[in-house]
Amino acid sequence: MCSATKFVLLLAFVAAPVFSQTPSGAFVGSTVCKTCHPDVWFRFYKNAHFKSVASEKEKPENTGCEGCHGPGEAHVKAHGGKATIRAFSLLSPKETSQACLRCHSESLARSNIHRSVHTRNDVGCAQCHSIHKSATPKFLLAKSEPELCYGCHTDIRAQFSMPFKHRVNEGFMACSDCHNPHGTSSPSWRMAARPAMVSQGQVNEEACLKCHSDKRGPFAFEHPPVRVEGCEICHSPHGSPNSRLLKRPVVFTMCLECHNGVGTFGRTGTGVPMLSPAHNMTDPRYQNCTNCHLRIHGSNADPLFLR
Amino acid sequence: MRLTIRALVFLPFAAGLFGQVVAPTPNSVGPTRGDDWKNYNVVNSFETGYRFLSQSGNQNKYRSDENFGSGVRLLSSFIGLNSKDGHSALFDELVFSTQGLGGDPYESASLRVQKNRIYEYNLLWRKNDYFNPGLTTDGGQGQNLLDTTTTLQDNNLTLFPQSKIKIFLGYSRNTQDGAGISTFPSATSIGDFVPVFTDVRQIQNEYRLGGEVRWWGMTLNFLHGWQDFKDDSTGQVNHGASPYWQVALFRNARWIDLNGRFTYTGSQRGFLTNQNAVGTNQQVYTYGDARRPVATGNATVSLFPTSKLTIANHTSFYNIRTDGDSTYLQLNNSTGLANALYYQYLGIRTVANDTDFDYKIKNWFDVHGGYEYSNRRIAATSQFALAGTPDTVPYVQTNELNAGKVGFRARPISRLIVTVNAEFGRASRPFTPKSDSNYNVLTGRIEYKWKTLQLAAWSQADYNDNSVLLSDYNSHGRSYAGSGSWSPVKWFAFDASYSKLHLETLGGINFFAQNVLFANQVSYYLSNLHTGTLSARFSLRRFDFYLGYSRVQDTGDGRAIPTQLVIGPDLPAFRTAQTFPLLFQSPQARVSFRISERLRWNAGYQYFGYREDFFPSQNYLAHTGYTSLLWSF
Repeated sequence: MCSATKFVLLLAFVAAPVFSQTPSGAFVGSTVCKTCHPDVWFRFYKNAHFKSVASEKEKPENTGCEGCHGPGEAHVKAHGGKATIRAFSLLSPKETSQACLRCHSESLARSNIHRSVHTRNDVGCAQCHSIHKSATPKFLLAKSEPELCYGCHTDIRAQFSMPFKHRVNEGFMACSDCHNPHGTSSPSWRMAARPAMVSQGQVNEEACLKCHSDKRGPFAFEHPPVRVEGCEICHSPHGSPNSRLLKRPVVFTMCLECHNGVGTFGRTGTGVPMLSPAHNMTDPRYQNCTNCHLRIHGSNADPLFLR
Repeated sequence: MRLTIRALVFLPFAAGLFGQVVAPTPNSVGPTRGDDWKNYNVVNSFETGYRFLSQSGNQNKYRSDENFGSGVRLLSSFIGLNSKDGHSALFDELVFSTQGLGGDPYESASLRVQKNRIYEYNLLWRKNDYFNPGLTTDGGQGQNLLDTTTTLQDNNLTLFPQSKIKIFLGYSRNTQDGAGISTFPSATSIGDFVPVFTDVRQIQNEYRLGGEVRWWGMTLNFLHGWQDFKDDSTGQVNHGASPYWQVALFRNARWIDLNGRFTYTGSQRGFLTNQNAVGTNQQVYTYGDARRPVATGNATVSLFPTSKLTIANHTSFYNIRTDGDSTYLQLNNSTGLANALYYQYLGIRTVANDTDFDYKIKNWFDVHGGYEYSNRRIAATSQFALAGTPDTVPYVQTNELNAGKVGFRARPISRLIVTVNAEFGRASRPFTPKSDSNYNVLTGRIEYKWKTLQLAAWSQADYNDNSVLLSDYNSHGRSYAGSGSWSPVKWFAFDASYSKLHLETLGGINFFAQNVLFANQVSYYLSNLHTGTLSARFSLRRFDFYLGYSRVQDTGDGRAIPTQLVIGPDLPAFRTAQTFPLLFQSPQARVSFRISERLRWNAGYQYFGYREDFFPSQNYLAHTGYTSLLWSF
């Protein structure tokens, strides 16, 4: 096979349209459906999918009931039945997602959905979204955040119960402020693939900086681990028993565990600098490092973050 | 009518089951189908009431953790208008909701207005009373204090949202204002710090313009943003801008997904700080510029050769260069002049490639795995010299990370799902002693769902060993969690969860105490953190009741008094710093009484109790609650 033929075949793959399992038969129109499903139809104008009906310009396969459930002719002739139409209760999570993504893949926010952790673990659209019985006015969620996410992520729920936490249970924030449940590009600010599904602030930086803009910089003197490892090197982002979401109850042990001056660590490869003899660690004055090193996220005026 | 009452009974169970804040009330009022007004259907509800607080103990700690106060509040409100035919003049949908207005520490409002095919506008506004007394868990030795208000707002307008050509416009504003106390190094005595009052004023504005074009199955998305940041808090001026660009091209098809994205951010910030030494003629200025261009790229190819197999390859690069000059200028009686230039450079370039596969062996069993290679190059220099001195040569280091992932997902019966995932990685040159070096993560999850009964159990072991000569660091974290929820009848729902985090870390430390070097010491931290929640909802005639309880307890290493058992260095500072038993619990109760279809009376009580075993000075108790009317017109 010559290279040109391979290229044409590749293009054919690329151009192949998305489709999912579609029932055969003709389209009958949504008004026929309301005869037997009035409870769904009479409140459908509140559904985001009603836009396709109101536009009156969509093809039958892209609008109304049959836009998702497929042609209804056989279903009508058989006087109902799940076998004669695309019934989502019978579809696998993957098949459900394929049906939804026929329209909803055309969004940057969902461009990574096929490689997302949710998809890999067979979490389909219908496990978080309820098309006809949504609990939220936006996004047709089956439950409101964070209850929806807590249903599976029990450990995260515990983290938001801590004394110090981001205000998710208070309704001030939502999980989707920081995460994109439809998948994201790999976090560029770290090496490994973790954390997963964290949406990026200002297109290419850690999500924390979307709100904590004073920590963004740039600073003439960056605290290198902030840029190299990300905020999680010192903070537990969901919640912590420690103030300021720190990973240790006291500041100085957290700092000393890196600033021990040994190994090939640090920006110059000679170990992360240890403290000078002036730091008497038995003196409470020196035990709270950020008393003096207050610009610990980065400073413009002092390489030791003192001002 | 019967349908309406059923819905009213059911709705409380649909939302807020796990919520741990007693107010606002999650119940709904008004006809479930709303009211018709002209061409719209209207749904609305308002909850107005009084929130009270009685607090004792450490007020600073309470304000840092919870911060609810007393006063009249618009606890929540909701207005929804939907066009019945989708052809209304100005808008087809309007959804407006608020929470906590009138004085709660966490206030928010959101608005969505959209007209089919023409526009969609979303606004999210949030205001947070932020109180940071500089506390740490060991007794609050911090001297820095912030008592500020942060407001965040995001405005997003999409034109022609259903078209193949969309236009995006956006504006965000982020401010922090308030009072603060900070510290400043003394200009006359090295090592001494003086407290300074600070009027905190930070503003960030961001403007966005973008678009999306679809043709031939491909989508091109582009975005340009301008971000402006200003911090002119007392004693300093920071002013900078971060313009950024993003271009993405992607296509999802049956056999293949293609996804590419490129971003560039060019940040710059100019700064000036001023410091006067009281009682002397000294004055210190620092001024300069910091610059940080960031470029990132991602490319993903996902293949679906069969319905059972998915292969995805993802390549990313990240390039960030931070440099800056900072001039230190000290004036002494206007005669002596010392001028030094600090210069630093930090460049990070990371390239990563990972390949994942997912294969469904049977309908009930699939396996997945992957391999990731990352290469990170860091170049850094720093210099303290008089202006004009040649730059030093950057020190360059490279870290390579090889990581593998493997797992399976099984559904032996339709109600049961078992998932196991493992990830293990090896890094050749970690940046800090705490960085991932030799790590492995094993995660398992079991879920069982039968009708309204849902049970789940989860476990994770996360080990990281990062060892070098003279210094060991290893972190062993093991987490276990379980949860269950059950709603056997429509008027009763029960929910419970338990989580345990066992964390022990061992870190090599060197430090000075009274001018004596304590070398090759060990910092050992142990935490056994238990978290449990219980909640129950039930309805009796016109009453809806909610009972909830949340408990967080760190049992530490089991010692009863701070110095009973010494782990780590034998210094008072470390004896109590390595394990921190504490208890934080919060029971709550709420009742909601349906007076009529459009009116409810609610009352609730929530208790917060925080207790540290070793440092009681931070303990607090708080009794909060509210009474309110939830109404609809």
